[in-house]
Amino acid sequence: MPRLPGGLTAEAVEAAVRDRYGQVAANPSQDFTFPVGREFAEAVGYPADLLAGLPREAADAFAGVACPVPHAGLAAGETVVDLGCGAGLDSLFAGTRVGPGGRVIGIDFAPAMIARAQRSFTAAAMPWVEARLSDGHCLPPANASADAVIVNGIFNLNPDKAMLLSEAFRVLKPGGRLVAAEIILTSPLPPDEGHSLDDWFR
Amino acid sequence: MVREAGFVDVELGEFIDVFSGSPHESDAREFETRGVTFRARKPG
Repeated sequence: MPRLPGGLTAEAVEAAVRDRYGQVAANPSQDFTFPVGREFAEAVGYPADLLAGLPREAADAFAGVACPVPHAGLAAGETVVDLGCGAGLDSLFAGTRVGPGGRVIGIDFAPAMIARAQRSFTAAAMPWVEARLSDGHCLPPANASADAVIVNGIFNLNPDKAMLLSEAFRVLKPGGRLVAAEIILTSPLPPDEGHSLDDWFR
Repeated sequence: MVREAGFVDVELGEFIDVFSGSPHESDAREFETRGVTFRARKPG
């Protein structure tokens, strides 16, 4: 586990992220320090006609970074893991690509988000898309079981990025694809930043 | 870090202005944060 500045612990950061995204799931229309919602999803590349055909519950609590699914080259019948699925928008998008002969496993560590995602999957009538509650330390899928892993903005919120990448590698089949959208810094943070939990959401 | 996990064929994709219009857009600009997509493959 990497050492964090300001005496923060990974557990404290994880709890704060779980709490913050639980708030998004419960009330996505309130103000957050990061963009949330359907309008934002469309701005970062989700097709309007796709959004119109999916349950609003998924798009209204969208809090990703971009639209990674089109970059995954998904085919009918494939198995996809949506790591940090949130309200499930990418899982549903992937579900439209892999179809009923495929499988999409949306995984999130915020119980409120998983509950919201499951409601969206049920409303979308896509039984091949499922929601699983799990942190990133030991993902539910078996070794070498997925054709693709999709990640949309969770590396920047997890102190142990190497662990997440290791788990994504483990669940992928040989030749499987990791497709991610992420926030990056293009220069180091000033030394007085990153010392408080609020800094993780700025 | 992605390569250290064992992935190959790591490709950076498009950059995205994620925080445009959000309440903390100025922080994102100040700290030079950007959104990016990337793709990688497990060997085999």
